[in-house]
Amino acid sequence: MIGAAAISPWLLLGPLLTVAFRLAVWLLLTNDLRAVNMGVGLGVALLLPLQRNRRLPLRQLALAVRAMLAAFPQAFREAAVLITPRPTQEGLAHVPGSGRRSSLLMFLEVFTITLTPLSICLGMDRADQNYRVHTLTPVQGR
Amino acid sequence: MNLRPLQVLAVVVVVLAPLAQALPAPATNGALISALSTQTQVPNLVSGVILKTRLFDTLAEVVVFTLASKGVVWMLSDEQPRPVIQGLQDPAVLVLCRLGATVTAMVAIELALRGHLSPGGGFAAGVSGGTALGLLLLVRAGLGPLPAPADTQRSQARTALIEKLAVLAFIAVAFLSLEGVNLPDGSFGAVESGGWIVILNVLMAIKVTLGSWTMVQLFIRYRGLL
Repeated sequence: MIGAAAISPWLLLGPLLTVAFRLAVWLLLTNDLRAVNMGVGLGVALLLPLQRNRRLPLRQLALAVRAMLAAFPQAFREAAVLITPRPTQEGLAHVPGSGRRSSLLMFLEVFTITLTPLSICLGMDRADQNYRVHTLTPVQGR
Repeated sequence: MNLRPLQVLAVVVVVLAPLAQALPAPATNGALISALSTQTQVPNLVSGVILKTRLFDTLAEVVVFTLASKGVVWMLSDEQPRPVIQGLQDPAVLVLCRLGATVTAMVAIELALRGHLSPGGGFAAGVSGGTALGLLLLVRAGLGPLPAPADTQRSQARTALIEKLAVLAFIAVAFLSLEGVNLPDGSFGAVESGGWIVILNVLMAIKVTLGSWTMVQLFIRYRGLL
């Protein structure tokens, strides 16, 4: 009884998102909305192995999604900067990340960094949970 | 004398010359294409030719692939596997590799199940599936201690068994198809149409996935990551 009570509905959110993502990939690949095809896709999405289940850090995920959305206009601004010829300076920055808590969170953070043309994620330091980021900074004047 | 403009001109002429040639007239093959279409009853004629009109040829190809993977096993059976395999450690790269593995696995299943409807087929699906398993193999070392050698051996034996069964099933189904035993055709263009072609594609995908994965895995275990 205690075991049943310990399963919170929030724990189902992770697998549900995974299955929804796989089904979306399947529908994009097949471009076929008939019931047979949806059934096949759902079966495949459920049959592929699921990751070990952890509770999603919802608050941090929401923040990460907001940061990602904010990165889109930033990416366009930086692209415009790149079009105009001007000298740039390379650099290596360390951007704090949330560590190994959740794959989805880590993906969103890496995506946010790499989306903007002037910064790209090189990897992660295992110890201090920072992302190593290669950056280009436009140099003002000569 | 500066010859650079002449050199550029020469390169441009050589590269662009094939474009001046007219394409062959499209109408000449129409009869052949419609004949193939009525014979195989699938939209993807390439799949139809490979798995119906020229099934004998494909049967031998699958056997050749099986022999190649057997050859790798025999060639390496004499050597000692490496005690330690360097895997990926970076957690961010591991997340992206797992995402890539998921997508390639979905692509593999799509290519196998719908190979008779759109470009794809068993061999392409097998390569995609093998890529997915290969990515997972790279990821595995970063996720904790490796399983015991006995477990590895058992899972390898199981993989080999499934692979052999897939080849045998492929040969059996191919003989049924060659003997003229047919499944109901289904409606043209549906997933469940095409008779034996879907089943042959799926069996071939299983075989090529496991075969290519076995080969990659053995080379990594015995020779290390390049």
